[in-house]
Parts: sequence; structure tokens; C-alpha cells
Amino acid sequence: MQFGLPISLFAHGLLVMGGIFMFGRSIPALDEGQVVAVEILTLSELTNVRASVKRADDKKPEPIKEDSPPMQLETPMENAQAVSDIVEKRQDEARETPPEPEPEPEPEKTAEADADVPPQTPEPLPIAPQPPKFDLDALSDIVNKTRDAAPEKNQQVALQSEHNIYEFADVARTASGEGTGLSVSLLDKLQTEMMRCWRESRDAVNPESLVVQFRLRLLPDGYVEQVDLLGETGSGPYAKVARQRAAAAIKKCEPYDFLPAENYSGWRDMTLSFRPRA
Amino acid sequence: MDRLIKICVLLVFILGGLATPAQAQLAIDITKGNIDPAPIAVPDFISADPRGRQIGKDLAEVVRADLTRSGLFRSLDPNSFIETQANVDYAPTFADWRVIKAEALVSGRIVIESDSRMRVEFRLWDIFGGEQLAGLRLAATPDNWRRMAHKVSDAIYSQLTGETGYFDSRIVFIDETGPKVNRKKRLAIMDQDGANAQYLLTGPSTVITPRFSPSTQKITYMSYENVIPAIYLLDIETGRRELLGSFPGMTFAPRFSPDGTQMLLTLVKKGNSDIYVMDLRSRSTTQLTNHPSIDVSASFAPDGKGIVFNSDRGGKPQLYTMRADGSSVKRISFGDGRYNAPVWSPRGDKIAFVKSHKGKFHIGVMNTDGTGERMLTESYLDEGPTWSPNGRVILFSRETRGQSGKSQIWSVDLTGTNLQQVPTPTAASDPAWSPLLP
Repeated sequence: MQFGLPISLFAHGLLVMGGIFMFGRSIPALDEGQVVAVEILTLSELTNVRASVKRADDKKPEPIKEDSPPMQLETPMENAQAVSDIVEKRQDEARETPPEPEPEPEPEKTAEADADVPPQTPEPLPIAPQPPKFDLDALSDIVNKTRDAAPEKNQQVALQSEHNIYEFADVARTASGEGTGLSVSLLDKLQTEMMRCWRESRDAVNPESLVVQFRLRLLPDGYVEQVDLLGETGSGPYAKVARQRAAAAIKKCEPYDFLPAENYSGWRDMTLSFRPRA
Repeated sequence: MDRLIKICVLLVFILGGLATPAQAQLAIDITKGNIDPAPIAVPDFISADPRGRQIGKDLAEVVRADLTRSGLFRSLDPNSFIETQANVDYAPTFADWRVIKAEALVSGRIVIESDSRMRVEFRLWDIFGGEQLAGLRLAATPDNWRRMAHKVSDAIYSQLTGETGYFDSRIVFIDETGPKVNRKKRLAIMDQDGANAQYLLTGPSTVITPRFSPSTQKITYMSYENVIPAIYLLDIETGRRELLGSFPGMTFAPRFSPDGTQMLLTLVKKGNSDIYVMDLRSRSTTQLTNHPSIDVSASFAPDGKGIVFNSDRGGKPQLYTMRADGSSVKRISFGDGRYNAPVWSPRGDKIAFVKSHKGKFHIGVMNTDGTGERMLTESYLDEGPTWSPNGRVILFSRETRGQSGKSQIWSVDLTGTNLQQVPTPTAASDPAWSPLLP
């Protein structure tokens, strides 16, 4: 028993030395970590996306070269013709310019053929088509007929023109939903703004019982169109003050121009519930 | 008939459907708000009379100080005001007040009707709501302008918080002069903001533990004029003093019942201190606790049905509650340290107390069942909490360390963030807050 400790120490030391000898060089160094950016997407970001139009190439206009000759008028102004003359001249030129196709050789006429073919009346010379007369009544009739025939198309046109907002992106994509959802960051932004504007009734007795709910309708420019009290819990002076503070918060946060205009249909109509904590 | 009923039912459904607004698409819960003091604008009250203008200036100054001291409001600097109202009967230009971020505006005027009569009129405006929240007219003698200012502050506070104010109230306290070893203690009273301090008793006398009646302008206190301590009742309005009783042995901390008809006190009999209730009409006493431990510092609940007190029956001083008849004793504090001087809030939802732990004293609050314990202060020695009439602010006395240390009155609100010293002419202790003045 008296040699137990030394033997144990020796055996453990041997084990450690052996491990270093065996695996010291064989363990490969870990590869340097590669950071992969991960973007968290919500379902609505995939299923509620509006169509986009490919953005025009952002090619910068080439700068004017210093050595290029200054722009010159083809015709000096003092020699310029009157506008009516130029138009007439161009019409004449247009008549003369196209080369006339060579006439194909006509088949030789036979007597039978002459007999079968009815005598042709001489066609009148082609007349240049006159520009249509602008008839407002006729146009109105056409529009009315179209509306009567396909009212659902009218509706669609009206909705599109209501928004009149196009989204431009690097790539064109087809729509998947109306693109009305607000992103999580925008909802956070809205909540943060409301927190700043809302004076919480924490000084009341049982503040958690003083819930006030408003329906808020906004105009496209972010100003309040209409506010309706949907409901409130509690009664008495504390509840009255809670309602006043919630209504004041809605007005104080106006205008809500931090909300993206392209998502207007997503935030034009919302329910705000003010729920103080205990 | 059946057809008529069917038509009626159909109409109800149709109209109900029309009246119900369409379901909003986006629903937002706001659970956290701004708790910073609300910016409020209080311009000097206008007046056609030069004397009225001076009163209007002083009165507005007091209102601004009251609101700011509450910790719930921040009075804006009058130099920042854009609009100068010449007539308070018209709505202000709200946009001008929004620019300086005022959330409420107080516009008022002073009308001096005679040498002995003055009228104070004011309107409270919600700047963002664009509406008048309150309009009030008060009448008093011109000399009483300071109370008028406190009443204006109370009206504003009440409208903007939903709870009654506490500005038109007074504090009775012990005025202390002289060195620690030979300190003179005199009963004094002042407005809640420290103004108008005056002695209540003439001549030197040693008094302690003054307590206000919750419903009347009367106080009770203990006096050591003679060898045996005596309990007195003093009517502040008339100055009439009445001896309630001299009790053999020690007597502690008399405190009124909510209706002012009874008083709780501790009497020491045969070396054992227990809690008694005294009927102030018959002067008869009834024993409420009967325990070999030390039971002291009893305080009624505002509904008069419960009592909180301090007892060491569990080994060290802790807080207990019981019914007004002394039954159903229940321990409510279980923390480390020693709990003393419990006082039930006038709102009924909290109990304030003193806790000493690890050489520090704290003023704390807890719910009436002992949950939600919070410490509001910490110092070398804090003691004697007393509630404001609305149960939102606590006054207490704080003593500094050392031979030159002295006691001062401090206030702290329920959040614990608004700690302020109350100005007193000399050293002061043992404050007791009055109910609102009539």
C-alpha cells in the first residue's frame, strides 16, 4: 500500500507522455472559421411580395471630351427655312425616296381568260387616310361600353391607380401576394415610436387593468384620418386618464411618415392596444 | 306577428353588421410607455391690476414648483414660451405649445375684486388633444394666494393623473434645536412645501410622535412635560388642547383610526407591551393583542377593518396584520433584518415600513399581503414614514452620522426615484402628513 501513490503518479505521467507522443503531431489544426452571413426571413417576406420592375442600368453619361468639336447647327439660323417649307420638302422627299419596285412581267392574256374575268372597273386612286375626327361623345360611349362589359377590370385598374407606386429592384420578379405586410423591424419601429409618445399610467392603482384599444386609420402621408375608441377596461378617473393619454399618444406620434409608403395598404388601418404593465 | 318578428330580427342583424367596423388588418400592442415627467407650461397668471399681476406671478411660481416636486411633471421655463396669451377665455395656439413640447398648458388670471376678495380663474388645456381638460374659479382673500396656488396644483394633478392631489396639505413635525445631548423638541407645522412654518405650542416642551387625524385637522402627540408621559389631542384650527390620558408605564405611538373616533396605542403593563384601542368619546381602552412579545406601532387600514403592527414574537421584529378586533393575526414580512414602524397607505394598497439590515436603514413598501417588498431609500438612519393624503409620496426623517449629525425631513415617491429634502427652518424629525385641507 505504501507504494500505491508513487505507482499511480508514475502510471498517470506515463499515460500523459504517451498521449503527447502519439497524438501531439497527428491532430490537425482546425480550419479557420468561415463566417457565413445568415439572413432570417419571415414567411410574409416570401409570400407577400409585390412585383418589381428591373431598374434601369445606372450607366453614367460619358463626359464630354475636351477635344471634341463644339456642337454646330447643321443649318445656320440665318439660312433656316420656315417650318412649313421644311415639312413640305420632307413630304416631297418621302415620295421620291423609295425606289419603285420593278413591275413583274404580266402573263399574256388569252381570249378565254378575258372571257372568264368580269370587266374590272377602274379602281379609284388611293387616298391618303385622313386623321380621325375627335369625337368626344363617341369616345365616352366606348369607355362606357368597356366598363359595362368588364366591371372587374375597372376595379383592378382603379386599385392600381390608387397606389400608383411601383417598386424598382435589381431584378424583376413576379408578385407573390400584395406586399402589404410590415417587416419585423418596421413593427418594432412603430412600437418604439408609440412607446415614446405614450405616457404610461404606471402611477395608477392596478395599472395593468387599464387597457385602452383604438382603431386608427391613416392617410398615405402618415397623418391621422380617423381614430375610434374600440374599447377600454376599468372605470373611474384612472380609466379616463388612461384613455386621454392613449388618444394623446396617437396624435403626438403624427405624422407616421416613418412607415414605408409602398406598404400603405398594410398600415392604413390598424388596431392599437395600450396595455400598461403592473 | 311572426313575420313582423322575423323582419325585426333581420333588421337588427343588418344594422349590427353595418355598425360593426371592419376588422383592422394590423394589431399592435403597446406595453411600455414613457414615464419621464410630463412637460407642462404654466405661464404667469394675467391680471389687469398691478397687485393681481404680482400675485399671478407668485402663484404660478408655486404651481410650477408643486408640479415639478411631484416628480410626475416638468415645468417648462417661461422664457421658452412662444405665445403670450392676453385673454385666457380663448383657446391657445396649440401649435406654438407643441413646438416647445408642452403636453399641457395652464392659463389663468387673477381678478382683484376688493381689498379682501380675489378671484383665481384658470383653464387646463391638452395640447395634443386640442381640448380643455378643466376650468376652475376659486375665491379667497388676496393674502391667501398661496393656498389658492396649491388648490390650482391639486386640480391640475387630479386631471392629469386621475388621483387626488396632495399639495393643499400640511405637515406637522418636531422642530429640533440644540446639541444632541440636550436637544429641544417642539411641535411645529408647515405647508407641505415647507412654507409658513410655525410653532404649535408656546414655551419649551418635549414632545414626540405627532400624528394627524386622517379626517380632521386634529393631531395627537406624546408629551414629557411631566414625569409620566401623557397623550394629548390638539385641534389645530382652534388651538384647543385636550389630555387624553396619562398612563403608568411606557406608552407608545398613538395613531388615529380612519374616522378619527378611535386611536391605537401601545401600553406597557407588567413589563409586557401590547396594542390597545381607545375610544375617544368614552376614553375606554380595549386590548387587541395579548402576547408575551413586544407588540408596537399599530396602524389602521383606510377602511378601518385591518391593522398592521410590529412584533418580535417570531424572534425579531417583523410585520403582522390582524382584524380590527385583534383576531386573525398573520405575519406578512419574512425578509432578513428588522422591520419597524409600519403605516398603511391611505389608498389601501401598500404598507410603508422601516427596515434595518446590515447597518443600513431603509424606507420600504410592500403590498398588504407582504408581497412586492421594495426598498425606496437607504441611509445611515431613516425612520418615521408617513403617507401623503393620496398615498403616493412618503415623508420620513433622515439623520446624518456623527456628533454634528442632525435630522431632516425627506420625501420619496412610490417609484423611489424622486427623493427630495423638504426645507425646514431648523433640524426636524417625526413628520406627520395631514389630510387635504377643507
